[in-house]
Amino acid sequence: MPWRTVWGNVFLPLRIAGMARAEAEPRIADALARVGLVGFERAYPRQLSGGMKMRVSIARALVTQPSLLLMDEPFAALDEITRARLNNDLLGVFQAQRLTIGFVTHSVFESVFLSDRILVMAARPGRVVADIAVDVPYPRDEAFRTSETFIHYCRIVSDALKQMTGDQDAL
Amino acid sequence: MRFNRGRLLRAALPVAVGVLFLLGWEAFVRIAEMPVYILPGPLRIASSLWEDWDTLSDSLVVTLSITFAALAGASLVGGGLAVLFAQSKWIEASLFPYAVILQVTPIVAIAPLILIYVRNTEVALVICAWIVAFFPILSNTTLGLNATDPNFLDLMQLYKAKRWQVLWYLRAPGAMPYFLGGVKIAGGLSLIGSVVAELTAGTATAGTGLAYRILESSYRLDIPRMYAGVVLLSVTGVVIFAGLSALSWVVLHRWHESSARREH
Repeated sequence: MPWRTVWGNVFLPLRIAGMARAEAEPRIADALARVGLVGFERAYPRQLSGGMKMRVSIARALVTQPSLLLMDEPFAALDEITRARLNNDLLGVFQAQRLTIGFVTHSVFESVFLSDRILVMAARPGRVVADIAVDVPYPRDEAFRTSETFIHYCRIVSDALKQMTGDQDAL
Repeated sequence: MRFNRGRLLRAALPVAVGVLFLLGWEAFVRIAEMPVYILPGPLRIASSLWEDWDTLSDSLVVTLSITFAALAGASLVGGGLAVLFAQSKWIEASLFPYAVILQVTPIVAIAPLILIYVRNTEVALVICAWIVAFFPILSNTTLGLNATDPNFLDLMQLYKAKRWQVLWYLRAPGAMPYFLGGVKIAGGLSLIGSVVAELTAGTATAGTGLAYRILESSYRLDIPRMYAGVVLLSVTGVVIFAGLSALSWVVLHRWHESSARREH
């Protein structure tokens, strides 16, 4: 929310749940550290870049220590470099916190890099057309992004997408 | 440097125009030998302002107190009603038309009625000025409260926020720029409202505000003092506007684009 500082934004869900400032303090610091926003506590959103705003949103989601996180195309509006960096950070969070993340994306590469399971969906009516397991252990790093296996899975997902759109054209 | 020069010009040009205008006025009055009771020169008006400062400043205080009482009342009731409207579409639907009626009925027409029913003149004047001033605040704040980003509303629902929490943490701060915009308009309007009401109340009451002074001076054909009163009123209006703009800046400059300086 634009009228709250980064710190205030991350505090908001705890505040609404009735938590005292002193009690919330360490959890907020922890959430901000996880997304790499230490030092920006007092900044207002308008002073941040798109990637950093997204980090604030993630920190705001993490601070309640959820067991499930649903992300609907969170990085779609970001440039490629920022996107890759946030992908890495998200995996870091994922490993540290052991939570389930449901992640919607239009990027094949993003889906393969992040997921251990990919559901390909088709429109009208909305349905799952493919269920692909990405059998690569975490942690995944930059090396995985350029590996043979990565390309292998990207091809599988792309083929599934192609098949889906082909089916729809036939209709 | 260029930036500074631009700013300097921006400040200097209106001043220069004002000075030229006053010089021309003074010259015209002298050359045409205008009698003071028709058109006094600026110097004569200034000296009247100086000589009658005691009476004028007393009147100014009266007018100001009416204006600020009306503005405070308008902010409270306007803001409060807007919050009430935001709680329920039905309340809004049933009350908003009456707010409009109150707004569109000319205050000069209502003022004599209010003066009949309210014994205390000062209170009656405050009510008149309040009627003029509260609508922009109500209408602006209602707009602001309804303009909340639906994504944030979803987020609040996710946090299981209670109704008052949604209002306090989301709707109210989001509506702040709109509210302050309304207050800025209402500041000028409450001054106008109090002057109009005072003129309507006229000599029938023991009014001592600036508008009454102007009226009284006109009966005495003391034209310089009439001008002095008008000058005081417009200066007051400008000061009120500047003050409210400053208030708005203090509240909003950290986050709202309207008053934040671009850094990139």
